[in-house]
Amino acid sequence: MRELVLTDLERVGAFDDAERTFQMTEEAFRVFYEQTARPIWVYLARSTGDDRLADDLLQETYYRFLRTRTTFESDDHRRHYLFRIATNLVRDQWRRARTDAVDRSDVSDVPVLSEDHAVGDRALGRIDVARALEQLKPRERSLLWLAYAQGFSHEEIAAQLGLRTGSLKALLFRARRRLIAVLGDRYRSGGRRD
Amino acid sequence: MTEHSCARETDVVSAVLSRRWASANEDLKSHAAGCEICGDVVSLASLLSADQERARYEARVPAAGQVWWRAAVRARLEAAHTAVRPMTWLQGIASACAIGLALAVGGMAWPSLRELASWSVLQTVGADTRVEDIATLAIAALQRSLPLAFVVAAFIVLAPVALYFALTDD
Repeated sequence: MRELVLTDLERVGAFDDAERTFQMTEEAFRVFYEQTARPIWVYLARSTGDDRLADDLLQETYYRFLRTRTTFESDDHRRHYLFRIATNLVRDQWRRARTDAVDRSDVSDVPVLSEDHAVGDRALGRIDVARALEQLKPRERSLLWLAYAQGFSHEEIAAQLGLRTGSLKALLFRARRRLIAVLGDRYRSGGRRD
Repeated sequence: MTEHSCARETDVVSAVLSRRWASANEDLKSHAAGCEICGDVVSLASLLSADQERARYEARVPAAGQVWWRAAVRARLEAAHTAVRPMTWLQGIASACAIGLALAVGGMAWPSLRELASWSVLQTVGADTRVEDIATLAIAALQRSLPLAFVVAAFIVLAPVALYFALTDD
């Protein structure tokens, strides 16, 4: 099969074409990227549990964003749209990996982080959230991150994941329970405890 | 029935993420202390937002210019692919037409060719030749044309495969 490649000259030309093809200028993109790249990368890394995959998905997220024809009403709208693209990409990854996935549906099966790890983490003054999130289902990671790290409303998350708000609340409740079960009582602070 | 969310959850998350939880109003704090859902939300939002702050600081993301350049090159490449696609289809359709035409011409010419072959045999062997001689000649002719038959058969099998690869190029 023939493979279509660009010459160096065409690559340089591509740079000139970009501003006609993409939905924002390079200068505007730089500003937007500086504001959003790190939160998006962290979201991708925590949702997939794979930093290298997060690198690839980051590039893909911005590419799809630049090619979109959507008209944005505000910076928040633009930012939410970017997270929606990232969420869709993460969801595609889940679907691809589903055949290999271990069923982790039962809370009682969730392994609690070992005391050794916890002691080491506390010695470093931090909890390895990434390791704890890896024990959850991919969708639960996304839900928790969007709700409690990004501060998105239930309606916004439901729209991103294609769920009804009522269903989302139940899923979020279960995800919270599972993460707390993984972390163990050591990390709980505040609130009433039974 | 289990309550899955609390009406004050949004206020709690907002206070924690804006780092105003310590100075949040006492009413909200005392609510969180008594509400299991909001208590969990305070714990998790504090944990995840702190992790995000740390990870953001440590994250090594490519430069904006690099992401822009890669996107620009990819857009140009996709545009080139899109431009080439109709040509590939056109080549495939032309190949299929050529094969069809060749088969049609072959089919139409076949009776004439057969008559010509019979006439040639009769001219070569003569009318008074014995049946055994004709059979020997026929077998010899068949042996000579066997490689040609193989080539034709191979063409019939391989042509659709070649066509498939031509069409799936993009």
